[in-house]
Amino acid sequence: MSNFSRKILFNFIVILLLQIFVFNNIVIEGKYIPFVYILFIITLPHDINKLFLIIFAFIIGTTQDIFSATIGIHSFSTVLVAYVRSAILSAYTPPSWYNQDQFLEIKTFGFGWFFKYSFTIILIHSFSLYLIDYFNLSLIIDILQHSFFSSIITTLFIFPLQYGLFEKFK
Amino acid sequence: MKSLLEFLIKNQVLAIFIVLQSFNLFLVIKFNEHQKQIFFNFSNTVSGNIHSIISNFTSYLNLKEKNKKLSKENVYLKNKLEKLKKTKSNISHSFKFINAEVVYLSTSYQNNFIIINKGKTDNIKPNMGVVGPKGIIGVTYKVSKHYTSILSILNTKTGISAKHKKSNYPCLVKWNGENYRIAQIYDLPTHIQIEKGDSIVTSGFSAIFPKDILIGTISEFSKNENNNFYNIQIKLAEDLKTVSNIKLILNLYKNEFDSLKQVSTNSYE
Repeated sequence: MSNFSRKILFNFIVILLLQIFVFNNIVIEGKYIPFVYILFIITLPHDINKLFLIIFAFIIGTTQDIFSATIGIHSFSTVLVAYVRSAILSAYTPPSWYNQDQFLEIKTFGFGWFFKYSFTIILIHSFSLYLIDYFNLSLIIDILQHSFFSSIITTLFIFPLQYGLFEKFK
Repeated sequence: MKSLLEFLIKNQVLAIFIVLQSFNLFLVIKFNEHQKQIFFNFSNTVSGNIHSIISNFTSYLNLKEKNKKLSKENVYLKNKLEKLKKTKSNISHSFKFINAEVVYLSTSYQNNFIIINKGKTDNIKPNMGVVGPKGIIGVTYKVSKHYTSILSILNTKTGISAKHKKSNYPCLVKWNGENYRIAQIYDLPTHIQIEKGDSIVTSGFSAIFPKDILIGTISEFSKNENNNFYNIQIKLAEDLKTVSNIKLILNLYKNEFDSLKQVSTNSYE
């Protein structure tokens, strides 16, 4: 097994375990849960097979759904984010010097670019998630508010994770 | 077919994306109560609107049939109106009707009452007749400012002066406290020919009810061995358990009638 696929597998398992056993139990203000599993989709390299990306997103979303009793909801927004990721990446062109098979991590791409990129993805993810969760367009103000604060909290948890988790893996 | 396959292979990511998202949405609606409810409410509204549009169109198609039906009904109603006019001209014009609504009723005791939402302020007095849409109900008993209690026919103390319609022979309708649909008559002599289904109507001998208001129909009868009277069970025309709109009968000349009756009886004695 190549170093590349080993790293993907390691990220996948560790992030899922962290999400299920640690972060699902952190509920802030009674309604905000940091959805850090989205970090897996965020960090996958730019040139990864799109089909592979979508299917991984489906698996990770469905696993989270099973453990939080929200069948279909997380899966929907994760697959959506995986699908629109390439469009976001071409909108926010990364620094020109990078390799296409590099993992999209804060240490290689710098705080500014990574924040812009990851916050957009997290925002789309949580907005679609709460849209499906509320399932009622007349509550759009609540949905926007809920997804915005949820995105901020997810982002706050993702940055320390980036430094802590992936630094160790070399 | 081939070109479709080629298209799918070319856009395989989009195809898989659409398949997965549809599957996810299906799961959301299938397994989450909240979303399921909203989805089915929505689809009901949509299908309801479509149905009403369709029925708007199709209702034009059978207008002819509907017209036929309506004209038939018209004839029937006109005939009935004529009949009613005839019977009404028989009723003395001294009676007036007052509408009221039932606010309480009982049928399960020996002495049952009905309470209605009209009282002294609406000119209601004790001993007024009460009828429903199908037949007789009872007699007013106690009157308060806004309510009136009615001794219904389902009260062992009530007795309604009646007559057998075919023979015009007077009798008294009482209730034995058993079945709320069945009342009894014990004072029709056996020399009168009666049959099942014969109508029992009010006699009009008191000033309470006008004559010929339906009380019920004979459902069973037998001869009493001890005397020469029938034991008759009559099925009440009005279902007193479900009655809600009633009419009170106001006799404009009741006092005159009563005082004349009293004077006559006294002077005879």
